[in-house]
Amino acid sequence: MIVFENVSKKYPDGTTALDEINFAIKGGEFVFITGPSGAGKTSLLRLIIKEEVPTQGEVFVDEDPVSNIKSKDIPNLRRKIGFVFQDFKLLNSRTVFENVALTLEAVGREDSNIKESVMEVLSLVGLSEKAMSFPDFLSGGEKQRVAIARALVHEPKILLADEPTGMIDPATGWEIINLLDKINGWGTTVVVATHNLDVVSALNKRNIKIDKGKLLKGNKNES
Amino acid sequence: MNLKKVVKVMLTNVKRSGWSTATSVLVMTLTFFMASLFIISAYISNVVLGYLESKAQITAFFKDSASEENILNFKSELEQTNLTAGVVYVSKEEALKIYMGQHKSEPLLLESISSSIFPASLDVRAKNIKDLPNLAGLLEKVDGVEEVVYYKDVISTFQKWADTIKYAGVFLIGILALISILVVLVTVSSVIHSKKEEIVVMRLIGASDWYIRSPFLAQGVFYGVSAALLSTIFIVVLLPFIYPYFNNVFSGIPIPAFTPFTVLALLGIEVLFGAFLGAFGSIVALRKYLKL
Repeated sequence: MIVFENVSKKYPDGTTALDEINFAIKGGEFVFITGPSGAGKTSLLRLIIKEEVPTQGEVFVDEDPVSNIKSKDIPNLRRKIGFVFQDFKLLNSRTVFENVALTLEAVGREDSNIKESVMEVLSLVGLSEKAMSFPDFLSGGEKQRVAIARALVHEPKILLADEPTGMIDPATGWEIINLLDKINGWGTTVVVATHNLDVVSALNKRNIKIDKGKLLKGNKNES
Repeated sequence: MNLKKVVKVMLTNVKRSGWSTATSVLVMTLTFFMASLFIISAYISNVVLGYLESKAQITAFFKDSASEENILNFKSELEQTNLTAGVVYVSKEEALKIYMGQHKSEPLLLESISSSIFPASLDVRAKNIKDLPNLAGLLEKVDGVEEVVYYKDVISTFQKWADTIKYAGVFLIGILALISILVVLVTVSSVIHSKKEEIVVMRLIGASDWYIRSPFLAQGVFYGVSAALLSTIFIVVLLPFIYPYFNNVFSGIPIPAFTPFTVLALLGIEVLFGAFLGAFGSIVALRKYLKL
């Protein structure tokens, strides 16, 4: 499903974010990408959605080399992937419903089935009653669940989550991780970048460990 | 994104832009209003010029001593020169009739008037306006001709005025069009800036370029089309006041009335021009501030 083949990423200021990374994630897997802050976790996720391009090597998504995807086709790649951001990236001027519906509007879904799909996914994350609330009136955990709902609503094959527990309290963090595990149980490939090792050890999933851009562990499915 | 949604998002952007929207539409309305005035002036100038050219004739007035036979002989000679488009003999009696026709509402002027005070004349129309001086020269040499009158200077002076109006109009409209584009650019850019966060999110969730750009493009078009509509409304309201002025200045020259068809044609041209200006301003803003 996702393959990194000898991937390096260097920024113009000389920083090496990733250095010759190799790994493959199969469809339906739940994988943690772990490492301290600045290890290169976010850069790795951004390469998958072609928000960044590798300086060397190749990233494959669904067997397609990402570097071959033209600018105009990037939206198609991103529609296969749901992305949960550490800072939620919710639009404060829109309601919870509108934030989630935005994904479906952006992928061109008909109005008639947007409402049904949005309410379904909000019920899944336990936020049906907050559909008409604005993000400013939600707790951190609720915001993260809205972000997950928005990433899931178009039923992507892959769900990427960047530090999904980073900005919420530990108890809520567990709820979020359990939710991601549940989503994985339905067949979605889930990749979670985190530095929260408690979560990683408790869940006993495959862990791709990186530090200073180098892959330390987890290049093979050995969980 | 379908058209309905593009319009919905665009209208939200327009509402949120508030004063910027008002300024954009106002400046563009001014552009179109000035353009309309110049188009109307240029149109009327053309009509007047065409009329004057069609009436570009020399009138040779004959002394009372000149016999009708001699005048008619000379008329035939003139017709054979191949320079004339028509030569009309106006006898003293016909001159009286014309005078009476022009002053029928002033009976005092017509009292005790007779044909004897009017000179007979030949109205000579040239095939080419440039030949007027040659024909005038020929007529002046004819025995019995008292005076030769023609409108060469009037036409060339009017032509110069019409050209000045045209060029000044094009120049002014050009500057106003440029200002309109800049105003749309600034307004759309500020909307893009205020929606930066939303645009980032839309890009990351897989929105197409068209989905993101189309409302901004539509916004520029909306400004242009609204301004074209407003300007046409102003023109239609003001026309009844403007037209008598033209009729007064060019009295005696039949100026065609502004019909609903001409108003629609003007509206059509301005809507297209407005859509183009607005879209152009938006495209520049999108290229500069929305690199996807």
